Amino acid sequence: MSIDKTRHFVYLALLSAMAIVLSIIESIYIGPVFYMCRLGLANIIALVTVKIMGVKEMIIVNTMRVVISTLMRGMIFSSTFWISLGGVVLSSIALILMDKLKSSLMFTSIICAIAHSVGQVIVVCLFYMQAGVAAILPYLLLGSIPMGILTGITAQLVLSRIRPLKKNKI
Amino acid sequence: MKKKEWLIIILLAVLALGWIGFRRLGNTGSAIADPDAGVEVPDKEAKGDWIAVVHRNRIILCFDSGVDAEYTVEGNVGEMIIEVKDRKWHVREVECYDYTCKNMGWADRDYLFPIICLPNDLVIIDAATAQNMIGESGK
Repeated sequence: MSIDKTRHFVYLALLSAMAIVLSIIESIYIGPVFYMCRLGLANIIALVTVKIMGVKEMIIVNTMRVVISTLMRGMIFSSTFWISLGGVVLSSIALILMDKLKSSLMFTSIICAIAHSVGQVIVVCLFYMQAGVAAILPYLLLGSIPMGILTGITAQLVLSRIRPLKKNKI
Repeated sequence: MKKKEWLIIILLAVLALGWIGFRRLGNTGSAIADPDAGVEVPDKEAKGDWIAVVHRNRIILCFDSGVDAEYTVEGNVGEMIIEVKDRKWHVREVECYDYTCKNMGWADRDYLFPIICLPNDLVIIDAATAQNMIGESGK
């Protein structure tokens, strides 16, 4: 294995670890803001990954995040897992689309936060036959905008600080 | 962020606000009885509001928020005890693993969110909205 490939795997592992840790910290220590909106700290890592490594790596990081964080919390294949997966799948699709359209980081972040909420609500409505949950969708849409701005700003700060790494061929 | 992107975000926010407004206006009407529901919403006028507990797309309990009482319903994981007091209601006890519904605290007619317990598949929501939701998903 070449040094470049090893370095690539190391960075991928580091980003996945960061996403998993942020996801667990958020679920355990940081409760929902304004009743049910979550900050979505792990989305910062997804945004950073897509910008510095690419789409394929972002999908790997997001998948690892959902599977390992729910596994570590003892919730693998529970309702939490499927709801998280629904949110991550839709937000990843949105992230890929926004990346292709060359949208700004902030806009991408907001759209991803909205897609994440919509994905979660769709999973609950379809798999759990709870159409009543759709009632919270407009509130989640409104809440996703400030949360998306927050994660977008953080991702921007992170990207400006890790630019030297990019030159080092991640 | 580009001007076009700001416009899209503002449009989405306006859409969400419009949706909330439409729902709140729509809920002022009387509840329509649903023959497929597990429990029918009583025809008589409530002292407060008729509040429904929905389990797997069926209303399993309908209570008057103007009558102080305690109700027990059965969800997927276990029991949920709902306390109604002074036209407000909350989940007093629940058998599940995340207690989000219990932590949501007291709700009243102006409360923004339905109380939801995902592990138990239970939603506590005003009866008119519950029937509209069940009707829409049943189509």
